[in-house]
Order: sequence, then C-alpha cells, then structure tokens
Amino acid sequence: MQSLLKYRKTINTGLFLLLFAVSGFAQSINLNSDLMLVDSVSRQQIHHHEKRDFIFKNQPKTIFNSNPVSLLYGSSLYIYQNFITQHFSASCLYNPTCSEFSKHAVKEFGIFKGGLLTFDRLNRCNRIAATDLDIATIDLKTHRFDDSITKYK
Amino acid sequence: MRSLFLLFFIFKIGLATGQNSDELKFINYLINKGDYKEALFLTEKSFSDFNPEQFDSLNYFKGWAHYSVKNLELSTLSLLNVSKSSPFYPKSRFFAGYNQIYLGNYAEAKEILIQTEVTEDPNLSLLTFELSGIEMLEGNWSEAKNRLSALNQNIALINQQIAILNKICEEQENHRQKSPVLAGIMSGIIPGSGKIYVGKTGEGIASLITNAGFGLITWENYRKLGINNFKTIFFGGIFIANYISNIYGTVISVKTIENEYQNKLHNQILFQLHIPLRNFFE
Amino acid sequence: MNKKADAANADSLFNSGNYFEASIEYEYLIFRAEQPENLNLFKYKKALCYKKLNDFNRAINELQSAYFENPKEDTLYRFVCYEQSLCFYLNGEPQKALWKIDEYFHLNADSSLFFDFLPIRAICLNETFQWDEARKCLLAFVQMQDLTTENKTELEHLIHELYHKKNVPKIRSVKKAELFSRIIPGTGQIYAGMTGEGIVNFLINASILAFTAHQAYNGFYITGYLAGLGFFNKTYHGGIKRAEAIALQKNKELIANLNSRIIALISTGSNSN
Repeated sequence: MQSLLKYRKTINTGLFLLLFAVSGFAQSINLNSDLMLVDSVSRQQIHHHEKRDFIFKNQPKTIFNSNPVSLLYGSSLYIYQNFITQHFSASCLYNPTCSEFSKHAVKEFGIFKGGLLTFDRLNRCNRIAATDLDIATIDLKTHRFDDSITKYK
Repeated sequence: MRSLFLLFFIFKIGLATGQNSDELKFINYLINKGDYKEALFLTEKSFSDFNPEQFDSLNYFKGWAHYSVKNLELSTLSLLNVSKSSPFYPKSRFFAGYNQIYLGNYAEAKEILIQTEVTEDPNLSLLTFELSGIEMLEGNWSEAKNRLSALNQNIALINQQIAILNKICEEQENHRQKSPVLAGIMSGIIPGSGKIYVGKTGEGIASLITNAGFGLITWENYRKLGINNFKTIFFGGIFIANYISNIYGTVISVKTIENEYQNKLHNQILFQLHIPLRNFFE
Repeated sequence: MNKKADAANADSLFNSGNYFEASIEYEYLIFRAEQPENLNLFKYKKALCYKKLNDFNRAINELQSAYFENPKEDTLYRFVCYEQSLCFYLNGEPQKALWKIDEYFHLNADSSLFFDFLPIRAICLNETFQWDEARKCLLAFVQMQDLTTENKTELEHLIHELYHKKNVPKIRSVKKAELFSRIIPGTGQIYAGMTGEGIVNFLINASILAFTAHQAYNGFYITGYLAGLGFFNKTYHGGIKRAEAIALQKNKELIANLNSRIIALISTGSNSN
C-alpha cells in the first residue's frame, strides 16, 4: 500500500526549515491524522436510538414485581418507551420525563402510590399547567424543569 | 569570598522573587481571563521559595479560582490561609464566610465572620449584615431583625439590601401554609379547585379539564351501555384513577409548594448577601 | 528564566502528549511575549493543544485572535487558516470552514499550497450537498500528487464513481418528509428511510381514526371526539415532527458515510488491486 501523502514532504521542507529557526518545533500539517479525527468526530455525531430497560430488570422476583398488575404495567411501559413514544408530538416539560418519572415512582413507592403520582404528573404536563412553572428554575442544559420523585418522598 | 557568596545569595533570592511575582501575575491574568482550570493547575505546583506575602496572594488567587468554579469547600480552605497583613485579607474572609453560608454550614460561617478582624465602618457593617443574613437562613427571624435594625442605615453599599431583607422578614411573618385537608376536600368536590386554592391555577384548570373529559366519556358509555360493559369499566377506571390522583396530588402539592416557597426565600436571601460583597470587593 | 528554554519546554510538553500543560505554557509565552511575530505562533500552537483536547470551539477562538499584517508573506498564515477551517468543520460549522478556505484561496495565487485544504473543502462541500464542487476539489487533489499517471487515472475513476448519479447520497428533503406525513401519516418516515417506523405510525393513526369513526357511527360522540380525536391529534402531529427528525438524521448518516469513504480513499491509497 502506498500512501498518497508522501509527496507533502517535498513541498513543506522549505517551510519547515524556515520556521525551525523561530522555535524548536516546526508546525506541519498532518493531513492523514486530521482526516482520521474528522472521521471519528462525524461518527460520534450520528445518534443511535438507545434501548430503554424493562422496569423490573435485574430485580429478584417478589410479589411486588411479579403480580399481574405490575407485569402489565411494566410491559406496557416498556412498549411505550421503546416503540410508541416517538409517535407523540408533545415532548415532556420535565426532567425526568413522565414515563421515566413513573418508572422511578413505581420502583420506589409501589404500584399504588406510584400510579397516583404518575396520574398527577400527567395532569401537570401540559401547556395550561405549565403557566404555574417558574421559568427561572428551568434547567439550561436539558431545557426542562427538574421534577424528580425525591420531591414527593 | 564570604561577601561574594552573600552577594550571590541575595542575587539569587532577588531573581527568584522576580520570577515568583511573574508567576503570580500570570495566575492573576488567567483568572481575569476566566481560565480558572488553568490557574488552579498552576497554584497546585510547589512554591517553596515564596515569601509570606506571595503565599498570601497565591492562596487568595487559589481560593478565588476555586470559588469561580464552585469548589466552595476548597475555596474556603485557601481563602482562610490568607494572613491579616495581606491586602486581600478582608475579601478573602468575607468570601470564605459566604462560601460556608452557601454550603449551609452556618455555624462555620458565623465563626469565620466573627473571627475576622475588621475595624472601620463599611467592613464592620457588612459583617453585621452578613451575620443577620445567616440568622434569617437559620430561621431566627427576630434575632435577624434586631441585628438589621442595629445597622448603620447611612451606608450606601448595603442600605438597599437591608430594606429587602427587612421586607423578606415581614413576608415570612405573614406567610401561612395552606391547609392540605381543606385543599383535598375542595379537589374532591370540584376536581382541580384545591390546586387553585393552594396557588397552582394552571394545574387546577388542567386537572378540571381532564377530569371533566374522562367523566363525560364514562357517563356517555354508562348511559348507553350500562355499568358492566368493558368500555364503561375501562374509561371509568381511568376516570376514577385520575380523580383520586388529583385529590392525592392536591394534598402533596401543599408540601411541595411550601418547599418551593422556602427555597425561593433561601435563594433570595443568599442573593442579597452576595450583592454587597461583589459590589464592594470588585 | 530564558524565553527560548520556555518555548522548548512547551513544545516538549506538547510532544509528550501533555496538551493541557502545554496550553498553559503557550499562554505564559503569550503573556510574556515581547515580539508580536511570535505571538501568532504561540496562539497557533495553543490552538493545536485545544484541538488535541477536542475543544474545537476554544481552538477556533484562539486562532481567530491571531492577527496577520501581511498574510501573503507570512508562512504561518497558511497553517492558521488550515487549522481554523478544520476546527470549524469539527465544531459542526462546515459553512464557516468553507468561507475560511475560500478566504485563503482568494489571498494566495500559489495554488500548489492549496493541497492540504482540498480534502477538508471537499468534505465541507459534501455537508452542504455540493457534489460537483466536491468532485472537482478531489480531482484537483489527485492531480497535485506525485503519482504515476496510471495511479492518477485509477483514483480519478474511483472519485467519478463515488459521485456518479447512482452512488451519490440520496438526500432527503426535510420539507418533503414533513409534507408526506401531513398528507398520509407515516409516509414521511418511509420516505426519510425508516420504513418500519412509518408503517407503525400509519397503523397507529389509522386505528385511532377507525376507532373514532366507529364510535361516532354508533352514537358515542363524546368518546369519539375526546378519546379518539384527542389522541389522534397527538400521534398525527408527532408523526410529522418525527418525519422531519428522521430526515435530518438520515442525511447526517449518509454524508458521514460518504465522507468516511473519501477519507479511506485518501489515507490508504488506491493500488490495492
């Protein structure tokens, strides 16, 4: 294999010597490594859809996470988060999002209290309810309002 | 021979000091440029040949850079190392105290501020002002008021802040927490009304709309299909869950609203304590 | 402390990979610099440190602060322009990179010095979908190398192949994707390249509409209106928004693939067969 960049030495030698006088290290263009950098940076920019986990993943089986209600809830949440959410227009006002909040709440407080908190949160996630939010408390990175379940403990 | 050696020694010290002050100037330059990470990196190097005065400056710069990147604990440690003879002493002490206030370590903050040696007036009043702020943050409202009223009102630097802090004290005295029981009952009778009562008008209206919507759907299905039909049960289930969650949400919102209010007050006080420090020392 | 020793120290820090420390050393040199001509050199090197640290925005700021009184005669100017255009591209601003390259080309008559700029320019032109210009750029790049005529023809052939009508990336129009999804839900997603998601979206919307129609037909007007249309409103507009997002994402992917192939062509050579 022959590198296409070999030629560069001939052009730059003059410059090299000239600039060597100014400092101990001559500037040069390493086109090859720059192009590799371009490649890796543009690869990183391509966004891959992240898979979101099942709520009771890696949990020991107990009555709380294996009864039919919990399983029905867990599987519908899983389907919603992985296959349905992208079809809805509104993006959530809060961070974590409503579905993520619901996941945390059910994990933390169980299906009953978690469910109540979820319904309450869904009622707060619309344009009318947003008028009560203080714009000064918005998270500048995510452009969402912080509302984690720790507020409801 | 000996005098020659001495001469050499003096020359060497002089050279070292010149270099050191150059380094300090550079650190200061980096801080002014906003390159705090770089400035901190330099302050971490060893400076065994520094004289005490230069050490004071170094500690001040280090503390200030840490403060700027919000490493408040480390900032306090460095700022407290600045000795009394340094021109940076008052600023270092006040900001060390403010760091501790911000972190919520009120006892430490008080200790730092009380042990600060200041004699003339703007500094002295500023000290009392900060201390009264701490009393407010600790919830000792009457103590805070006493301190605030004892302050010299003619100091332009702080008189505006004194007025604001007094107003916050008054506000706090008149503040009454809403009753969660009443709010819950109200939401039970007319969904969403409890939320309007506790101060969340938008949330209340939104709850009313969703409850009315699900209620209407359930009513229509009940009227046409009866109670035992799947659709009635399905929509009725959603309606009931929504209705109960609204009452529950109203009750807990009293607590979250109170927390929000206290947080807002807390941040307001912190902000007011910060303004004169920035104005005076910069 | 002597200045020359300082510069050497900074350079050795840079060469040993301590880019953060090197950037501070260069800043120190800038801080103490007495001769303004060295200033630009230190700024350039400082920018290289930031480039190595993947802080392209800072690199650009550093390079932009370099001032050239005589850009035509200053050899450093070329390097600064090159790094600046590269960092603009890496920072996601291909249009600015193109402006910088054109500015350099405009000021310099000696086109033999353009060499290093050409691949970057081609990649930026790809980002803005200017295939013809990009192809010309790459062909000029091939012409400037000291390769055998045979190799050159082969490379040219490969480049022509890459930009052939058949192979050039099929860029999805964001507006079209939006319009398609507005007329028939799901078709925008299919057009933008995600067939599965488009079909799912179509089915969701169709079933909600069917439910609504069924309810209304049987006299359940409130249920049909609130539960059916309310839900449909969300999935319908969601589909439109999603189609746009997919089109943008797909275009990004296509361009990244094309650029990747060009980079592979340039850096590994061509005489493999």
